[in-house]
Amino acid sequence: MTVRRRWKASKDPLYRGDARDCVRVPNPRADDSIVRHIMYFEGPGRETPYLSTSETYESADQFSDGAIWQTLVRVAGREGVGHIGRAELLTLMKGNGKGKAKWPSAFEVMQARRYVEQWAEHLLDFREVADSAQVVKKIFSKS
Amino acid sequence: MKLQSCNNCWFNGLQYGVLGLSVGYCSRHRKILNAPGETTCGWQLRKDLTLGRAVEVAELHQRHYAVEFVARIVDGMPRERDTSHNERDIQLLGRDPVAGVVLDHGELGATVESLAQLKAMPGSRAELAMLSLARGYVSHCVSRKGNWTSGLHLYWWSRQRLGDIPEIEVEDLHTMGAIQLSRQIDLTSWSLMMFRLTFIEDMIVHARQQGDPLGNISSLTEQAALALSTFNVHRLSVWLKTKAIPQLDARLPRGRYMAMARELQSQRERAEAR
Repeated sequence: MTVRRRWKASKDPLYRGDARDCVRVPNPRADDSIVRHIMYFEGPGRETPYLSTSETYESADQFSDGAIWQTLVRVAGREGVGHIGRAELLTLMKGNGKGKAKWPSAFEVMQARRYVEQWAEHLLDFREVADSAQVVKKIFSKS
Repeated sequence: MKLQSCNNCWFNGLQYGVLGLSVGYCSRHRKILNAPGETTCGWQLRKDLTLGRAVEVAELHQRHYAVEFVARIVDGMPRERDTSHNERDIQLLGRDPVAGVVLDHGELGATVESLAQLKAMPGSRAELAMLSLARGYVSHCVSRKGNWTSGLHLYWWSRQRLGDIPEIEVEDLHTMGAIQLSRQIDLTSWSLMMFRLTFIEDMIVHARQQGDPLGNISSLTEQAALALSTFNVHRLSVWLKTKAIPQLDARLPRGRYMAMARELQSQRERAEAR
């Protein structure tokens, strides 16, 4: 394992493990609970307004179904995609959570928080995006 | 770790997150799992969730995956190379002491016996295997109208080590992930301690459903998560010793445990004599 320097939103990429051909398209109007998203309760085919990404290629690789994709926070931001960084997620997920990370089970909030730390997770937020399919194509490239 | 994968399932006692061997073993399908992070099946019950939530999520999961075979998460289809029950592979896996016991679990009626063997073995991997298979064993017994006390000894063993900080060695981890080793070990220790508490909580839920006073304890996993805002295993250990164990011992002290254990033993002897 290499010791990495601190990740910087201004220049470091966010990686996402996904299908070989494309990145999954989020649904901006789906339930926007962050804990529900991270804990993956509904399983395959679930609707979510977020895309999970990681600071590290290694973590993204665990979730790959054929390819690792990457983007930059500023590239995503230009298309109206919000960024909820790892540090912000960790701050939101204490006790029963705050804001969009508010959740009835504190235990599930804590498990989600552990995953955010272990996977160095960041969320890309598509809630304000009109055409998420087009935007996903535009902001991600294969790593 | 994909959360819906075999890695995160009760029936795979050889792995949980980064802890464990590089291959898994499904005690339900009785197959070696060569790609446990990529596979699943309709029986999957998540280790990282409490009993009620794990069952709820499993019902949704079963709509997507067949119970009959281990499949790829991505398309629900089986791949021959993902599993093995080849005799040579089983023999090789069985050279690992923990895996050797896990392979025997459920064979020739050896369920509690194998769990007792795992309890006696040192190391975090043995404890992981015991807890994981214990969750499946007790739930199976209760679902067949059995008594919650089918897991009485498993409960007591877990209660006895509830506040201990597991000793996790580098060789216990099958992958490192993307964080520093010391932090990975802390988070893995925390997960295993909470996994103990989750099993204890399963037992509380089963006891509650059958009217036992142990069931009067409110969710310990919730209490822990509300009391502790960081993954500091020393603080978790103190909390378990000072807050959780007293609640457990107030409902099921050693004397009551011994009396119940003696009664179970008498029942067993009477049944065998018949």
